[in-house]
Amino acid sequence: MSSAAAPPLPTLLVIPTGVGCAIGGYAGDGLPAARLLAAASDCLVTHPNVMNGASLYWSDRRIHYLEGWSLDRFAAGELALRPRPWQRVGLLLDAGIEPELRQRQLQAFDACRATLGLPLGPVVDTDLPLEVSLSLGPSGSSWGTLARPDALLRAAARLLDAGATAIAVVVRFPDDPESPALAAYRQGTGVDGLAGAEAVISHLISQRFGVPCAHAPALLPLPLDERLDPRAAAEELGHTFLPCVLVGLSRAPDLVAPTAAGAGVLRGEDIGAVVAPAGALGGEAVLACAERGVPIISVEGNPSLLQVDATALQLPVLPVNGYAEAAGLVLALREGLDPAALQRPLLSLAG
Amino acid sequence: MKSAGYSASDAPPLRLLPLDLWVPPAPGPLLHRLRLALAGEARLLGGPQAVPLRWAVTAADPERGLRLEGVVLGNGAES
Repeated sequence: MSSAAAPPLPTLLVIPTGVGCAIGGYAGDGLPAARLLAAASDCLVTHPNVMNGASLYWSDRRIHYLEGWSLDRFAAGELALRPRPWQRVGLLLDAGIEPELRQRQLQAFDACRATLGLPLGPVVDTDLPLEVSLSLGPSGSSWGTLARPDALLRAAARLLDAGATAIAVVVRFPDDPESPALAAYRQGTGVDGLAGAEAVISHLISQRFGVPCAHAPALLPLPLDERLDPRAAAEELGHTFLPCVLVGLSRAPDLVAPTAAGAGVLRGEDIGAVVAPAGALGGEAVLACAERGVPIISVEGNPSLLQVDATALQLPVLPVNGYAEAAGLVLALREGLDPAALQRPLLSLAG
Repeated sequence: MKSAGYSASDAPPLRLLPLDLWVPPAPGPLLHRLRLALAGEARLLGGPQAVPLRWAVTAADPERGLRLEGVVLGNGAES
């Protein structure tokens, strides 16, 4: 008996963090694209920047939530993913968080246990404030650092020793409610100034310990902005950005060696397509896929402040206008259709 | 997953450092060339054990090549 459904086509969705992507550069506003691509591929691997909408989230077994450092390693074939029913998500809190703000994080943690039934805990505080600082790189992309990365890693080690299998991190980020950059971001014209430092935090833990990790910043509530862009609105709904991280991590895959045995293990060599903004193709995951001949679907309709395109990198790509068209192309690849057969003119192979 | 004994006593002081590098045009597989350049720059910035933690190509120029921006995880003394 044969099934009408084609097998899944593992697809990588990359929307780089902190470079002002029009789609996915704000508060989880890449999520609709992810949902569509998950439906088209039946197996989507993507990163927290795409999925995290503060109090808003979407859980879909077809979507594998994978932090950026691990995603790069996966794309390069240096680690594999083993889906599992659940992760025990521990909470790592920066000692620099004020008591009231800390209590808000703990209440969000409790809420996700009580209301969503997630297996959570334990909670560990760092032994020193982590002292995040934010800046912009030469390209204008957001960047940031921690004064005490060693304190972050010590706390992560304690969480793992206490039974956590995935780590949600909440770090106190600097408040700057009057800054023009923050106003631009909230009004839909700027770069997410926190994103670069957030990525560094989760990369550090994943790189050192090989476990799923994601970050939510601790910030004081902002004053009302009547010109708030819908793409940034998810971050204005509550006191914390933690629920989406907990939901995402609760079903994140284990990170295992590429040689790991077992049914359902997803390897870099299984990737059937990668979808990325046309002007932001210079990340490690896309370049690793290109090296192995994985089709690269470049989305013209998602501009950012970068202009690193297929011509600049001399990459063969399948250009599309937007994510709806990308989903169509993923479906075509999944069905074994040659994308060229869907376009005219169709050149003869007879020469 | 256990932490494999990570503790304050065996942890060298870590530092996160910004990386900004142009890789000139050259023949050969692109990713390999970029990784070699990144590894060298990381060691220069952060010591012999330093590694690039996060990076991307952020600009392209026909003469200068590709610009890489990123973050290096270094430990020990600066070189």
